[in-house]
Amino acid sequence: MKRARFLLLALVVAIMMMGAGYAYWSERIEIKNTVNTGELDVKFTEADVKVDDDYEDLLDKKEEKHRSKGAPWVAKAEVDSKDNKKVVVEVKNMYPGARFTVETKLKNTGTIHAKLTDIEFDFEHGSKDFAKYLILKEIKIGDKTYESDKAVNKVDLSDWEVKLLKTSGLRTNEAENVEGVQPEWGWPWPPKPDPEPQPDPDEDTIDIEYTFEIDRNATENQVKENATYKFSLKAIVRQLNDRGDGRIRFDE
Amino acid sequence: MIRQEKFLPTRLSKTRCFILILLLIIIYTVDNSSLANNVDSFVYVYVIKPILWTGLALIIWRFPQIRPKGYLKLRKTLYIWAMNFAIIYIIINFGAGLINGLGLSPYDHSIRGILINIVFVGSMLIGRELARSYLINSFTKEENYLVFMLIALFMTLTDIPLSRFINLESLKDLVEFIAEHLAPNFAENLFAGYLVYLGGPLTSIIYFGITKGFHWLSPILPDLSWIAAALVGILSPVFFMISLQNIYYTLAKQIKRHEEESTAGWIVTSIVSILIVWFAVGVFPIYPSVIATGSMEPGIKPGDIILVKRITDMEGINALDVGDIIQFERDGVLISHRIIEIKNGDKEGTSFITKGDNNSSIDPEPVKPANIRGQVVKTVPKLGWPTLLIKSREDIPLANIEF
Repeated sequence: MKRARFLLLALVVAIMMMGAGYAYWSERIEIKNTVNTGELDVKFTEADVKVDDDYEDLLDKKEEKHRSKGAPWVAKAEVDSKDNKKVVVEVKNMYPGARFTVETKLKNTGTIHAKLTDIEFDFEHGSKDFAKYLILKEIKIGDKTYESDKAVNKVDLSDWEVKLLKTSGLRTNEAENVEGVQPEWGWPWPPKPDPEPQPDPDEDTIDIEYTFEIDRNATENQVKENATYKFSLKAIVRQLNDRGDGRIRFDE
Repeated sequence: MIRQEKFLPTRLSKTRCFILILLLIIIYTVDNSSLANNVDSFVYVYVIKPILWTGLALIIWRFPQIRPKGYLKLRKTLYIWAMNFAIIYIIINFGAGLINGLGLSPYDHSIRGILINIVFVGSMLIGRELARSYLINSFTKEENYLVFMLIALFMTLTDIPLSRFINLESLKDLVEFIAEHLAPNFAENLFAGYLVYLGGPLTSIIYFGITKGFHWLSPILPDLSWIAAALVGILSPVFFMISLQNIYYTLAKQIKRHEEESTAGWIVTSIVSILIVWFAVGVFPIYPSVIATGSMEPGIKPGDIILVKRITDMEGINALDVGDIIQFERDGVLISHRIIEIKNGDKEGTSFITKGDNNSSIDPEPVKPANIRGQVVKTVPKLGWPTLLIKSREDIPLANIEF
């Protein structure tokens, strides 16, 4: 019996020590701080439309006829009050060959880097046919120019080179892969980067200019001179390292 | 009293014992080797294995019988007590589940599922208990704890799949495994060995039949943390064994009744002392901590013990309010100060600005949730002085806490 008592004591002590282990390992549970995930947001800050004064290559008599009538054509563009990712463009007195350029400024207002991947055109009811005769001549994004010669309803912008919109100030994982900001390593090599460059507020904004031209072969029925056509452009952005296949990478 | 060995019709047959041990090892090896993977798993688990175990049971049945060492007239009492202990075990486990957590049973409870499981579990049960009884009663005539433990160890090792041993990686894994599986299994086998020593295979068949039956059939099962499973799983069979000893020998008139009461006393003392130590060490959600500095006077003085409610998830963090006293870790020390302000940075997350009540200024660094241990819920005055006397002054970096 005495031996049993001794064994029981040993067992009790063993169980006490298990408890110590349990307490020790429980303490090490980490609380994962829920950091707010980054916000992807852009908006158009400015929108303007300029009429193309360059009539030198317009030798079409039809167009001469229209000009001689003296009817001014009007275009306006503004950022949509309800959706600041959209710019609404309204044009009147269009005639074949007329050109106008929509100038916009797109700003990254979120907290993570974004890239512009597409522009969505939306034509209001009543203007739907206009898409066939509105030709996108070129798009200038920042300092890069992309030429096209297709009507808006046939334009495919998916093979663009994407344009980066940086976000000033925030250091995120993505930021570490952006030019100029190196990830910090603990090793002596690679050498520690220079202190983080001061953020450039202009980097958050890019200029996008769209030059449109009315199809020179359009007839009066297709493009009515007195009609007002309205359409919108919407900026489609994605997270910088989103390659569209659902996988996020950090090696860009 | 007639000495049993003169009239034993069967001689101890070492050969048969070793055949039995070998067969058990073979079944274990087949179970754990890749052979099992070559056959369709349903067929293997629910057809081949029952056939193997039934075969083993038949072989043992055909062996010349070795009798258990308890009195024949007490056999029925032993059966009843086996049943009682099984029921007590279920109650203890379920009670622990009510405290620690219950969960839905993952087992198949359709009629077909139940019948299949009865065949599967039952065949293994009968085979193993017959083997256990044969081995125990062959190897010893008296209470020989060495034999009991060796056979219990053997039965334990052949009960736990090899993969469980192989998958252990860290010390933590090892301790958890021993606490939750190995030790309770061993204790159970030890008790079962004692049961069959006294009353033959049917005693342990009754015990395991009831406990395993509950495990496989109950819709709700206890879902215990590994430490709770260890406490219940190890102590229950051990206490059963001690109690059974007392009960049996009292009935066999070999000891006086008063020993029974002292056993209960020992059992209670063991459990209580374990729980006290566990509380002090911090097993439970509320744990004690000694205050060393006067930074929170006059409410909390040096030498007081604070009771801290552990915080383990963001829900607990978000429930904290200005004015709460939290215990957090900084530079290796635990500090308990009051929350003055909660900052909710969009990018950095939540952080807490703290200040000791008696300090002249706020703590220099804000506290992050990851450093928070818990919230102070109660103060017990003066009880912590013995701890402080033991700890030297150098251990406490006062500069960080009191200013």
